[in-house]
Amino acid sequence: MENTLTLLQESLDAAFKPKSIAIIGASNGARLGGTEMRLLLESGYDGQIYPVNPKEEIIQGHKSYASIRDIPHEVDRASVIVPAKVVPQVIKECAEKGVKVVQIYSAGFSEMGGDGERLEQEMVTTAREHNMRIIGPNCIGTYCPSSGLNFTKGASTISGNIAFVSQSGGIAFDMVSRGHITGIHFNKIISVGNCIDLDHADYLEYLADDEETEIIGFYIESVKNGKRFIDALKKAASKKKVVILKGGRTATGSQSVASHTGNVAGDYQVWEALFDQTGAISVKSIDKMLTVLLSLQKISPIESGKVAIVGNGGGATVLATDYCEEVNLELAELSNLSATSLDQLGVADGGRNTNPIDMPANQLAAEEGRLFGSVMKILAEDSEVGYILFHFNLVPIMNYMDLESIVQKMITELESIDRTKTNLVAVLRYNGEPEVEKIRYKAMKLLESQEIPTFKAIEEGLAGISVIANQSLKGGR
Amino acid sequence: MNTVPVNHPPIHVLNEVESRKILKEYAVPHNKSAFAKTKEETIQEADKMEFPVVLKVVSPLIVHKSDFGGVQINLQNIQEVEEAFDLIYENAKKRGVVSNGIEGVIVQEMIEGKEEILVGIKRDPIFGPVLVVGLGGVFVELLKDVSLGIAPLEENEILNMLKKLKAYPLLNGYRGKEKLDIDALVQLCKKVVDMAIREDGILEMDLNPVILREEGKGAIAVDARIVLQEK
Repeated sequence: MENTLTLLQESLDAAFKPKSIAIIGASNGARLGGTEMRLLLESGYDGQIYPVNPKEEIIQGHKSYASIRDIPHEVDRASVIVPAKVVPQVIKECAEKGVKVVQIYSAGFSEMGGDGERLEQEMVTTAREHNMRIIGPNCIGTYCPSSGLNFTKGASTISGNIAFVSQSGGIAFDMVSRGHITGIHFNKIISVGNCIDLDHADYLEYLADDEETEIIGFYIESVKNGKRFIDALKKAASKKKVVILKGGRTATGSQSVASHTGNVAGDYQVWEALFDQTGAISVKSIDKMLTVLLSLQKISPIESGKVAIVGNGGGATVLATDYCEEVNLELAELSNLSATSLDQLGVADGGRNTNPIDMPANQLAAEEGRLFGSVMKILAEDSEVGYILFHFNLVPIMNYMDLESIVQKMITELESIDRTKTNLVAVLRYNGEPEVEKIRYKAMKLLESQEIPTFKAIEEGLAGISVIANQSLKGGR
Repeated sequence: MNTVPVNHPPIHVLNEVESRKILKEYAVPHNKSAFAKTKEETIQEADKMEFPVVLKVVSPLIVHKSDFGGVQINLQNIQEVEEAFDLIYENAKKRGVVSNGIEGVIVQEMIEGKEEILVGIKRDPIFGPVLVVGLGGVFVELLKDVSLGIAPLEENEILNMLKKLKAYPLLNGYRGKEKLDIDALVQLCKKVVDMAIREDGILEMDLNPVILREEGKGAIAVDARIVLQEK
């Protein structure tokens, strides 16, 4: 067992942080093999790169090899991007060469039926004989900003405390690209495809012990060894936050006619039971996954901390209050001192407008944003408040001032707020206009530089806070 | 995918008599019950029991036995048992099931309690035995108010499953009602789970209902159906 674990760790270390990579199927062209190599060079990978392609002499400035066997050095990781029919031969050569781990990008195996499953089994057998591990097949690649591994343009170069494992290549893409825009920082994102050798339980075990990782995100369609998966999930979820998006929730193939129980208990309900039993957090959409990951990364649980809401829009404020109840959040009852201070600022309106606080656009923009800053400080210093959600509806603010400049000033006001006992959560609302979008994006990046998460809707922000606040209630799971 | 393939192996549904044998083996509480092939045997068995008793038809041709009078309840004495026996055979005959299509009847002591609970097992193709519990009748059928747990399960996990039911307050002293024997229900569930782990041929099981009584008075299965996977 000890030996298996060491081997697992070595092989996945080699997958994410290889000292040398062979790209089998690299090219000078625009297809996947060419792109993989180009992205590797552009993303600052500083290990050895060995392109393998018998048809080329030089690939993107590097000497090309006809076969992996011709490389006169050790190879940690091989990315296999060749047609399915030659993959088994390539895998055999990699295994004999002593490669630690291969990621097979090629599709066309068990997911296509036919001979696929048998070929997969043969590859696994060959790999095991040589202590080589296989990722995939049928996947898109590996992203690891600290080593420079990458599979798409628009990827962040900043590493964070989240690792993501995806059974879908497309969702792995979404996590890299949308994560970057949203301000979520990953240390690893891996597309794992058909999981013929390394499977979900292996990735969970590895990440449970991975020092860089505090949060694990998962997109799962199917699991082969259920018992092993449960054990690995229990272990991982006891040490880290695990968030799971399960695809294929409506499968109804196991409807039963023979028993009542069989009819009332659906397959996805079994998954929900699993999430409950292990303490994993489940989400049902990519958007919700991003919301939860951003919240886990940027919001810290504050014991018995309650919520304060401030921003422009009377109706939005009322709806925000309603939504708090839906997501099990409690609005803070401010202290007399805070209420008096807000009253003196002319915001509280005789104590009626204390929490949530409706600050119309002209108030937000007043005194170059300093009034807003003062209100935020009062809320942050109130011991009842653990989470402040502030929301700007951008278009109405434009009526009073230059939007870009006032938003910047308001955000600058936040720098002096003591955040040890209070979280700041931003919501920037607008109408979708491209000009406003530019300003919104800049504002979001400014907020990101202060480690403040930004959401598009108040409900999204509150849902994010709820994940953190209600997780801490459960006792830190 | 998390589904049974279309060509899954054939199943074998055990009748109540056969199902109860397995319950007995694992000490899952169930009411006193006996199988009788003839009217004479039925009377003998009933005589050994505490009245009132219940008679249920046993026939491979009859699945929904209560739909046409195949279950006779609240029988207070031997005479009523005799009448009920004849009635069951007549009712079956009206439906075209002649006496050689009937294996016999089950005689059992009638158990009264406060709530009817469904306790079931479903073997998930990926995760193995799953315990399913819910309050019988509309709660399970109409509102789908069930709670699931993947085996193995400890007592505290089973209790948490019960607490997740929307109808849980009905078991726990809702509006001044008596508290029911939740502890006994948890113990029963625990035995069911351990049974499903050991008996890997069990594909599905219904204990429907389990009669739950007041605190300290127990939880008792009064009907059982086990579905085996044919090997």
